[in-house]
Amino acid sequence: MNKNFGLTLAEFELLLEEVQAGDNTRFEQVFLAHFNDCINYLKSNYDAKQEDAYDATMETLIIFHDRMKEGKVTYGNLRFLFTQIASQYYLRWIKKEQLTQTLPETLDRIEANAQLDRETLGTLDKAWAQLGQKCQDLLKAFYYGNVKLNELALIAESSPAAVRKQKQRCVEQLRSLFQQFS
Amino acid sequence: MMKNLEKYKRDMTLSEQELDTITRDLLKGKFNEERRNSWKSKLAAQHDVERTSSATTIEMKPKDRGRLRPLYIISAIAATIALLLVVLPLFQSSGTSPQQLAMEYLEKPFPHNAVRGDEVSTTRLRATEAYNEQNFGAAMQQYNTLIASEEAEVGDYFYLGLSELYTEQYPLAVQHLEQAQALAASGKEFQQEIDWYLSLAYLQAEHTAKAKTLLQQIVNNKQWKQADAIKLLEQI
Repeated sequence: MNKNFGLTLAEFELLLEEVQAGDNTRFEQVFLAHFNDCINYLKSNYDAKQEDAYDATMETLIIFHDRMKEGKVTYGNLRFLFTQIASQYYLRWIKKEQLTQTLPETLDRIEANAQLDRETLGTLDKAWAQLGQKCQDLLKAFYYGNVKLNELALIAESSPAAVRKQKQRCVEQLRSLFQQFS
Repeated sequence: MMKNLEKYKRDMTLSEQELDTITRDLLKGKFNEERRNSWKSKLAAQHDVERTSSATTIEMKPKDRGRLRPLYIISAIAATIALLLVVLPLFQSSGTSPQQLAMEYLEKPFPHNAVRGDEVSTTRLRATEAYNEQNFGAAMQQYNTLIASEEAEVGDYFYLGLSELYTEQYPLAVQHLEQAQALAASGKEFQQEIDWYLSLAYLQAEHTAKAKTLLQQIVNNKQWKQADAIKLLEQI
């Protein structure tokens, strides 16, 4: 298999721009098409069960996507990077930190993604649904989209201080709704 | 996270930084979960990749295989016969197959309310009218014209898929509802409706594994039609 998932440097840079702009269409086309290859890699290298290999690959996809969004993935050998993250995630998760091989320095900080239990997730969904659209957009862009306050201020044609205040109000409102539904 | 979550729930004082961190963690958890579910259904629907293998296998280490083989085969045969004895009468006595149940859910067409004044093209308006009159053949023709002219939106694929579903053209319904699902992934429009009708299309097209995955997703995410999804899952 191509070491960069069949992407040329130009295609990769375009993909990176799209992911950073919140468009995941091409990312999904490329990475979901190679998902099974990573499952097979974990199964053949670590004798992983289908379910465990699937879960580790899914978490790797989330990590990889986050890293691309943050501009922390560079072109070169994407497949190696992807399978190494998957290996490390799988080994840490399944074998409780029993790392058996040296991994690249860039992978030192692979940690479990924030996974909420069903109850918390359900409460959060209810609270989120009650939150106004403006607050939803602002909080999602800031906390999940990694858009900075001054960028949000530019979009909203407002001052960073005003956006910061608005964000704080939205944070408090979300917490208050969360408490109501808890 | 858990310690702060308790404080977050209980109205205890949190510093601005703590509140910021926990809000980030919560939202990251929520949106990552949404991404996982979306990718799971796409992997199943578009790439035939599922979390569990379709075949039930018993994992054994290579060295065990030879030693346990005769006992394993006898046990497997006995278990299969026992299972058949228990399960077959259930199927014989049950009058409703998942396909029949899905058909019941398709008796009343999903309404089309999406007429939006000057935004609507003539073709789309004709398609909507035909669909609402249950003239699905004419509706399909208009929607296909929109697709050919590259003006089609998620709703057009959705109602084309529904028209095909109501006229029992299941493979085409699957194809167009999957396209609608792919387009809907970036927005919220029709997302839950598409999931439900795509699961029915999968059932009718006998893509049972895909139907199960999508129905389970509907239940897990507490989506529209979750109670009906539970009923269908019980039948599969």
